[in-house]
Amino acid sequence: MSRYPYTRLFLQSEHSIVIAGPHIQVLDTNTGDVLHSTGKCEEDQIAPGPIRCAALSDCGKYLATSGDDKKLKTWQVDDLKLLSSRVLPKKPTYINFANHKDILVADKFGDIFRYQLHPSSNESSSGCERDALSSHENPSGGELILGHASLLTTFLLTADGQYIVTADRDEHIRVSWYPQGYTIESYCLGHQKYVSALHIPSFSSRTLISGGGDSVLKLWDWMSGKLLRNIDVFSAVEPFIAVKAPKKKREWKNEDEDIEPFEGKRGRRKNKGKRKEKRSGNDGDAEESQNSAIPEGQPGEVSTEESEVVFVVHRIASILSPVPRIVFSVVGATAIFWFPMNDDSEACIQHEPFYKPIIDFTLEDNGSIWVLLDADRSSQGGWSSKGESDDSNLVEVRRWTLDNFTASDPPPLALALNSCTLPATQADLKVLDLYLDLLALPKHFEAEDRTQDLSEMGVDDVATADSGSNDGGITKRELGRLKHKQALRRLQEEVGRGASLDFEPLPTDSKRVKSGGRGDTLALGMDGA
Amino acid sequence: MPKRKRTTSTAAAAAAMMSNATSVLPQKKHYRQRAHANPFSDHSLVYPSSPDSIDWSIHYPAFVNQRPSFADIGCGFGGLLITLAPQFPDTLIIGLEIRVQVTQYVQDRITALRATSDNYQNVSVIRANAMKFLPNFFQKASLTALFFLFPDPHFKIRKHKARIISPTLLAEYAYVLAPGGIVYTITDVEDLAQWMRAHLDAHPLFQFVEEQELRNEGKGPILDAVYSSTEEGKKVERNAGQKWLACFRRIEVKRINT
Repeated sequence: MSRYPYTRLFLQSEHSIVIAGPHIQVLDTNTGDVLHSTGKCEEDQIAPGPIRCAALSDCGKYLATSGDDKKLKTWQVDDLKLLSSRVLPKKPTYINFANHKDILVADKFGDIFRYQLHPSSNESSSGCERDALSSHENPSGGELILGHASLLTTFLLTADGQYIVTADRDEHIRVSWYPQGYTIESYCLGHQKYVSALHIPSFSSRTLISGGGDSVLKLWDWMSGKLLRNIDVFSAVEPFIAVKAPKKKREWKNEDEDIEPFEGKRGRRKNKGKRKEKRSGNDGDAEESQNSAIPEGQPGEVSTEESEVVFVVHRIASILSPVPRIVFSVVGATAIFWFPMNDDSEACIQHEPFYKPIIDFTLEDNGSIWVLLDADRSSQGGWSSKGESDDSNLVEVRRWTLDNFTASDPPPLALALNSCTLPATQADLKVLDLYLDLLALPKHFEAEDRTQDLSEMGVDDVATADSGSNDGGITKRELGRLKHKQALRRLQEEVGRGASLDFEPLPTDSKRVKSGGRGDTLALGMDGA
Repeated sequence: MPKRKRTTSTAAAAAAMMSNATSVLPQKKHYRQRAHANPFSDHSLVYPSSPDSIDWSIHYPAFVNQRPSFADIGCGFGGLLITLAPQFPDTLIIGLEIRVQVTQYVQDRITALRATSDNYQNVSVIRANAMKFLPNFFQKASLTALFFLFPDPHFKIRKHKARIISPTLLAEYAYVLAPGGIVYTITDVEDLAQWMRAHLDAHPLFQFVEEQELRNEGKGPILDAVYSSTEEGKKVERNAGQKWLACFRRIEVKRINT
């Protein structure tokens, strides 16, 4: 029988909470006894799909959850009573509590709405109807705090509760006043790819650490938006990335399992056979190189599926004991990574292997780390475990010594979590789809754009007018443009000040990938093909 | 892409009159593109990762260490840029336009104008998605004027979220505008006029300014250009349509501490 892996763990001194698929369980932290579980509840209490976001209030008494059903549910932790259920305007991406009694929900459309913990009567009354001037659907009467024109991936509030830091799929990190989100204090700009994780360490409250698709974590002075330093992490992490994204190809759409397509498709299929992307550099992983010969034209064959390394930082956290360190996890990677938080030295990324893809982790103040594992992954396909640890554990606990970890006797809670698991069907697990981010976060460019760019190549210069990339010859309009260009060139030569007037320093090989931080990427309105 | 037949465009007509420049100025008919672009899709855009990484001297070779202070969002065929350029020779003006072909036209037009005149060193254009990437181009409080002239009305309610004026995007416009800076909006669609007015009025960082007040401040030439320099503006005049202008000043507010 399959079981649900745990996707989130909240540790508290008395009641700890764990999320597994659509279920919530409350356990006694000291004994590990399961006190309450939605697994035993009536059907209508349980979300039809997995819980994607969950947050615990500062006091530890309330839990907020949501998922693909777009319902914000609040629970009382003591007895796991469902307090309220509210409809959200868009699919949520991240939820957290603010100032004890507010719940903030970030969504795929890029907005952040604020809801009261306990719905007031006027909240529900604003209803669904939209007048001509309302810019947002707002079925539950949330208060719109701010919005990005891009999928909002994560956010955090500063320790004093005065600022909210938001991150999106288009590389932005925005620092706004809270709750007056209409005033933007600064932007922390410099990421080249999506930002998926933010953290401000308690021991360095002016420093923001961000990570996402870039090979580095970035440290910022968030108040001014100034970049303090980059910490290269990719080279340390890459050998541990076990789950790769299937390459997105439109013609494969139909043969995908019957998952609800989510901006295209994806599945838990990578372990049925995969091929590493050639361009991903040093792909020295021996296990990976087996299927190098890929038969063409058989997109339906799962075993021929290409895959590529997609780097997504999942969570960044920090711990003070025994020494200040930054800890982070990466989607689909089998190790936890950390480095010391100090300004001077070159950060050395250390790791602790767990041999199974890490779903999430929770730090305890005493220096323990609880790691949630996708432990059953290997049983589904060719992915072989080489771990010496117990293969079936969904939860592992380690304690930090000064320099490394010790695996002490697992506490009762960990033993309980590993024994009282919740059953799931294969279909449930497919829907759970732990690695959505690998496909949802990277950008996919539209074909329409490409053809436009191609057609532009020819008009740019006489020399490139017959470039092979065009579909055979110059079109009429290109010819028309060319005529004017040539006239201009002649004029410039006559005047004798030609070169100085031609303000098109076209970097002909700068493509849609932004090459970082240099002025020359800013070709005037020009895109390469 | 299907070609669109158009009668002689105004720029081409103007160019025909200037015998010297006839064959130098580009013609719009060679750059037509459908009017709509989805601002939410991943276009293959090139954009700076932050304003610090922009070398503005590529755009304005005649100016050293100066950044643009007027930005025309969705500049279209560049009518406003070309009109304002000679009137504000010391102000750098940038147009942002999402459509590739149209941006190319404006760029070619500026190149041609620079070759045939001593003006126009202070205007340039960039292909950009302003809804997503405005803060990538402009530093905090670096602009003194933002123009939204005849923006895409997105009539359907379902499409209202794609409108260039929205409660959440206004925060970004307020961020790039210096206190005292002006947002100019104009449209020939009454629904959209009400929409823009309502959302700017509701935003704590913007305050409505009467047209006359701006004229008293010497911004008359700008307002005249806003009314009638753009292709859309001229089209509305040809069709004897109505135009709704609304201007707002970026103000500063105190923090409310709860």
